[in-house]
Amino acid sequence: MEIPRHFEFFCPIRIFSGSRALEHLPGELRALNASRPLVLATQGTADRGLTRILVKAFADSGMPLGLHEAAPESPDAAWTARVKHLFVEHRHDALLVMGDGPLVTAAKILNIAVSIGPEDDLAAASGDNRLTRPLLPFVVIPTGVDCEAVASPTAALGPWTFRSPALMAALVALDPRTIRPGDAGRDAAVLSVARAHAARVIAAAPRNPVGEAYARAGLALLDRNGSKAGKGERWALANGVLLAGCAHAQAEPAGPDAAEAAFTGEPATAEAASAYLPDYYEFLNGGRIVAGHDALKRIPTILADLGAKNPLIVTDRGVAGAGLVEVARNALRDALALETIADDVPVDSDIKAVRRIAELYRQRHCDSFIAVGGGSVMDTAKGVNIVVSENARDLMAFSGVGALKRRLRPLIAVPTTSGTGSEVTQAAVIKDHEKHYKTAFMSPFLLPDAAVLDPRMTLTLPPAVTAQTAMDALTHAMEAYTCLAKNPLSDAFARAAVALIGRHLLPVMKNPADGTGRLALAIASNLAGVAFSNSMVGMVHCLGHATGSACGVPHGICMAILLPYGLEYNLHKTGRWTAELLLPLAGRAVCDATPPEARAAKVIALVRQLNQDLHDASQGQHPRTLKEVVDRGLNRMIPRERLPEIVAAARCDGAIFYNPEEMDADDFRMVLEAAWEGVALDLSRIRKG
Amino acid sequence: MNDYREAPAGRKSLKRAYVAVMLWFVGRALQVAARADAEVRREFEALPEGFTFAMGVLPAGPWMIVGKRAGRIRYLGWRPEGIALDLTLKIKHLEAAILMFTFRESTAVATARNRMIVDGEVPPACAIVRILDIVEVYLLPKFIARLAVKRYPRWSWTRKLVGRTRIYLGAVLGR
Repeated sequence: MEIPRHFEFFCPIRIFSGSRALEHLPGELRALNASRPLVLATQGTADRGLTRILVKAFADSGMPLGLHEAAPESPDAAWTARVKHLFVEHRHDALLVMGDGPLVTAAKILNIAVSIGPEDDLAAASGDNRLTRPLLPFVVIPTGVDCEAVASPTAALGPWTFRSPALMAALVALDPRTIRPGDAGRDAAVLSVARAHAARVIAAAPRNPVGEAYARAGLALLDRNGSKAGKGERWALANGVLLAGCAHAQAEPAGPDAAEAAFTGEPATAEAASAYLPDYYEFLNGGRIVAGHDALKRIPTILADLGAKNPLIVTDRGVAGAGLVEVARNALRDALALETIADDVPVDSDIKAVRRIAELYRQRHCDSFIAVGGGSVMDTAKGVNIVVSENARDLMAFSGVGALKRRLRPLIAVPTTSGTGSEVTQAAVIKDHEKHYKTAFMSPFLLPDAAVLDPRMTLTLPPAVTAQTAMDALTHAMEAYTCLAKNPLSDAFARAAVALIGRHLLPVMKNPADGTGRLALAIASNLAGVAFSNSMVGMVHCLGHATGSACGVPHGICMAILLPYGLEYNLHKTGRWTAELLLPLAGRAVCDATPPEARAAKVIALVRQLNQDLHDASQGQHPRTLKEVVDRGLNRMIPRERLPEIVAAARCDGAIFYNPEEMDADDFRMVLEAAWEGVALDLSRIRKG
Repeated sequence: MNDYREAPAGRKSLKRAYVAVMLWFVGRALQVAARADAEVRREFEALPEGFTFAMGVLPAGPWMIVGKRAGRIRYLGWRPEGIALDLTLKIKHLEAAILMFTFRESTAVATARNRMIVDGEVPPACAIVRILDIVEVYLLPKFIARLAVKRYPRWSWTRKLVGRTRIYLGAVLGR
């Protein structure tokens, strides 16, 4: 498979799509510190009763709406000035746009105008990447299938042209109630353009794996729903157009005659992809993804775009000892001196470390973070970022869901393993070792501003660690694809991750210095991270977390051993989805040679075979069963008599909420005993709900 | 300017009343189930004395508050103000609550669709969800309960009949 030498992708659009999507908006606006939104709509939109639907959706939210229902079809600069006056006069603090194309573009300019202030400042902000101040919350509610404009980083109106990623930072609510048929000819043209955009991104050379995931998801929806015209189908088509627009806005288009995609063995149509669309889903892939053989070199530019120049490096002694901070310093030597380094992050992120590093940040007058390491380093950097950005004395005041209401200081994540995906998650877990508890922090503001994937950071990983971290990523992808919160975008990310791991893991095990393979695994881990941070994970993680905490087994090892059991246990509910993973995992030839009804079982067999191959390639260091897991002294880490302890811990893990099938203590025990012995599950013993 | 108007946030009084009644009934059913069902009793016994949780609708309720006081499970009413909560299950908006309480979306599906926020420690949240599933099986006929839980349990008819009778009577009579 062809891996690009370098690619970037940035699409900070939060998607709320499906039934009752509009009702989610008041809560989301509150989370952004907004409480007085101004709605912009055309008279036509109001006449069709769409603003009335919005007003009803906001009932019981306690949030009044200002309504401007006289926007022209093609707004001009004079309209922007008039509505800006309206916005200020009525003290609004957010914009909700009901409409498409030109109105969305004009509203983006209006948002700059109301966020920035005087017209002189507006003129100064026009041009490329000159928007340094955050804009006000901006919500788009498409009223037809034409929603590509949302994804555009460019807006031009009258004398001004702006180009900035800030113009994509929108919440998009795709609600079937508001997606109405427009002019038939225009709608057909919109769909045709969207299909062409998606196909071109899929066929692009060099490839952009993230853009391709958006494009494949979009194309699948466009192709599966293209001939129908009901409310649900129009909504699905609007999803397709939006995703195609996101892909096209960010990924380089190729010539229309580009060859068939070799990326996952799938053609440049969405023929083989799933078009599964749940009644409702949310999706955010908010940070910039920068990947390539020399990706570290992009860090100074990214920092400059974020208005920062004095970063604090957060890392741990293992990473520093392996010389990876030096690799980063050498790569940046000409552009940025990395002088302030906190290399004492403990194995588990810790409140004391957060306080200590926050103090260092303040003493050295830093203005941003570069986190170099694994999950613990990322979480610690996020914790420190909360403390310094909020000027907080008590980090715990910001624990839980949605306590953060504004952007934090810039944070760039440089992962040094290819597995956790923590560079793209919206969560941090910080431990208080004195009080013996862990606290979770959840917020979109915790997403790192950029994830920089450079294969030099993983070249020195030992084979056993390469194997377990890649299996962690494979589990993220496969659970995201088969558990309850799956959605079309996370599905596309998951399939791409599975394809990359399927093709590159064993070659990298045989040749650890394979930079291209390392890059492929880093990209796969990132894609899987995006997939699972939106669609969550299920029983494999539930049992894996429990095994890890009870017996101290590394997370990736638990994932590798338990993954086939998770797929097997849920087979009667999710066999269809598991079967769809055969194509990306094994390629076209194997998929075509396997009858459709046998594909799910084949996927499970191939995952077991992969564990066997990793066992062989690591000279037995990669265990295939729970009883084979040993510590450095070759002592068994999971004695059979400790399985009840693992069962008890598994019952307390939240990942089980997302598992398709119910699990009680007996079920956990059955799965653990089979995984301990290394035998397949007896499918007749699985109680089906 | 005459092209501007303000739409005050209205009320959905009927839907609010329906959800309030459901929460009130479930709260009182939990209180009885903690005595009437051995599995629910074991789950509550594992929670610390004083443990209090709330389930309700953002931004302004209705709510159901249940706590463990002197070893017994108590329905503590519908006003969370002034009560220290260990765990809060927040349904994001009234329409999501209607989907849940008309059993068009199970608790698991509502969670997967991000309609609900769990604020607090995860282990007790898992226990409370298990308890709510059991209570739903008692309160609802099988064809509806199957929509509300992932797997309908295989209970003896005596457990179902005796438990259901005790919980319904107890919830209605408040004891």
